[in-house]
Amino acid sequence: MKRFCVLAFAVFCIAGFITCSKTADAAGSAGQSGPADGSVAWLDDAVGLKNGAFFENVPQASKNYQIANVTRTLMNAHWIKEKEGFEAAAKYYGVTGETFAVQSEADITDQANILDTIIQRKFDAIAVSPITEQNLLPGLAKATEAGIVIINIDTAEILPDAAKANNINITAFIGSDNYAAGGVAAEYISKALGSKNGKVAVIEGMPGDTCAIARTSGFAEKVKTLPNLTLAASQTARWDRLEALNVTTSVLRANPDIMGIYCNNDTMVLGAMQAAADLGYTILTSDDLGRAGESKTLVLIGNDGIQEALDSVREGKLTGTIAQKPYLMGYAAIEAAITKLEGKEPMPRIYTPTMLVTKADYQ
Amino acid sequence: MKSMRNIFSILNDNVVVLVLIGIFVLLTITSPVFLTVGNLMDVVKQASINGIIAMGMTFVITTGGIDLSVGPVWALTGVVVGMIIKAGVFWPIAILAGILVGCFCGFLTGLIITRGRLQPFIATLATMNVYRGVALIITGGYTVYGLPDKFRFLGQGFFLKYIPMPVFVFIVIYGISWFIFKKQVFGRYLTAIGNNQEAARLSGINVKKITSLAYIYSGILCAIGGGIVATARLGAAEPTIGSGSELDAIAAVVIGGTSMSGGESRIRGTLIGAILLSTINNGLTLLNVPTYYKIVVVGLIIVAAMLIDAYGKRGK
Repeated sequence: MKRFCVLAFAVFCIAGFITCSKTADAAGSAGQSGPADGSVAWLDDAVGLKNGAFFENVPQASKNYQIANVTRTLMNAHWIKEKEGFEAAAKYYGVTGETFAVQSEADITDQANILDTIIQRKFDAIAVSPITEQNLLPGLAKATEAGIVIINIDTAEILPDAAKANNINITAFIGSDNYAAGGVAAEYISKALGSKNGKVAVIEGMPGDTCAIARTSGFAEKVKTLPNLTLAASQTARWDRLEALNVTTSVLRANPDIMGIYCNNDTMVLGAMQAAADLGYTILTSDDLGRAGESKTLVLIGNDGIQEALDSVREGKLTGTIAQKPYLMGYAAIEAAITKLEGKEPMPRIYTPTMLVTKADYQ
Repeated sequence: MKSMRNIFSILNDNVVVLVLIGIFVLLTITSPVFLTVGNLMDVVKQASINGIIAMGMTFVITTGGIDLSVGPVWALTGVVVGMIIKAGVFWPIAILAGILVGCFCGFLTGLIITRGRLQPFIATLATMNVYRGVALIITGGYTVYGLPDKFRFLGQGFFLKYIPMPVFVFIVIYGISWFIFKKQVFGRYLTAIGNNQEAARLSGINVKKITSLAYIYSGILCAIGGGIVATARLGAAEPTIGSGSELDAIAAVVIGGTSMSGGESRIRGTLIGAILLSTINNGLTLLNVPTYYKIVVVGLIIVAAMLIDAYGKRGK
């Protein structure tokens, strides 16, 4: 047992050393790469800003406001971009922006504790991306009581009902229009099919998640208005890649004539890609979209624009993904906070742009 | 009523098989696709990864313990395998490293439980967070992707042209687990410990060593089923994968008839339990049962299976 212990430990150390020494490389290559490898111009941070501003008529900050950003983790490109936008805007408007993150998306109580500390430190405004719809409610109620301006960024969205019930005053919600994103996916599939009719399916995110509900219903409602599409299946894969692979396999088995699938996020679309490949489907790209409607072809669309999905789109393995602009979300949060602090009312719901990225955007 | 019980007692541990057959018949009637070779292969393939992990879980539960850390060990071993391959190392070496990491994770968990005398539930709840954290730290939260085809073969290829690799590995692991349990004294030791730890110790069994070995076996199977087969199947290793997989594994074990209080185990039951779970999920997806109803139905079927099983056991 002792010998085994020593041996196992030694091997673990070696393995650890190998992996750690390579960590930097992997993180670097997996991160958002610059325009060097022919990336889409739209995805650049500055796109969407006019003369350094996202909104028109942002008032000058009359003093150096302290604005906190209670985000999720900084282990995910999405939240890193959001932080960068937040900090860039703070610098541009001459206020202080400070970002607070937790270790993992499982640390729901840590995030609540961070919020409590921030309220103690008397910030003027707080931008929050709660990990769940509930975990920050008590803290935000306290913040409201203390007169701190609250901006809700991206997800989880605190719905007006929940805010009201907990005596929380949220100045603005800033994020992607997830309902519209679902509709964009449906329209793209419909247009690809042209005069042909076809069945479509949607792979849903975590049951009960506001973002998953908005994207799914946005897709389903749009399908109802498009005469050439029929919704054949709507099944959850709980944001999970392996489950998406399994569920998409079964969905395609039950409806071999499905022509298009929309997945609520990119993690799941990557699993769905594998399912389609296993069953011998050809995933169409913007180059051969004319083949849509032929048997064993598939228009496959994801959501979010994570790097692996964008790479797949560029390589022609995935039809498209609806990319978001987290940089602008962080940027707009500062602007909305300053607007409110200067005594004006920003718009209560602010949507940052999204774009369906296809292979054509890489040429 | 007595004759009913007699029938159940004859069927004994085959009750779950009856439930499975019942579900098969129902699905065959309701879905034209269900009883096709392709779909049945999907069912077994989808049961494989959970099935492999559940085999290790059976060992642990037999000792009266539980292993909540299976998902994070899956994720950690997966990213270790993925990163080593991406670093340009020959892939079989990466696999070996993955298995060793799984082995070490199980060893550490076993150590905390046996030497630290912590409740397995608490100990694995803690290691679950540690292993997940390490997986996130070494990847920076990013997915490791773009793994070579030779490695992906382990999850996407076929053994002898027809048997999907995950299914092949599942069968091999089942065979090994069955052999250890039925033909080796080790299996009887596990059962003895689960029945009465003190009595086992007094009768000369090295309780700490045997218990640790159960957790090590669980760790190794997480590495094989999750870290290697699942990673190869997806062609990518995600540091967040496998969350909730401990519940799937425990469900497969318990549906199979292994007692949660330890001392009683059914390796074949776990195999059937895993297939039952994937059959339910497959069937409900084929029938396009709406998401919210699907969750309820899965729960109800598990309860029903357990009740029928309990009724059968009482008859015995």
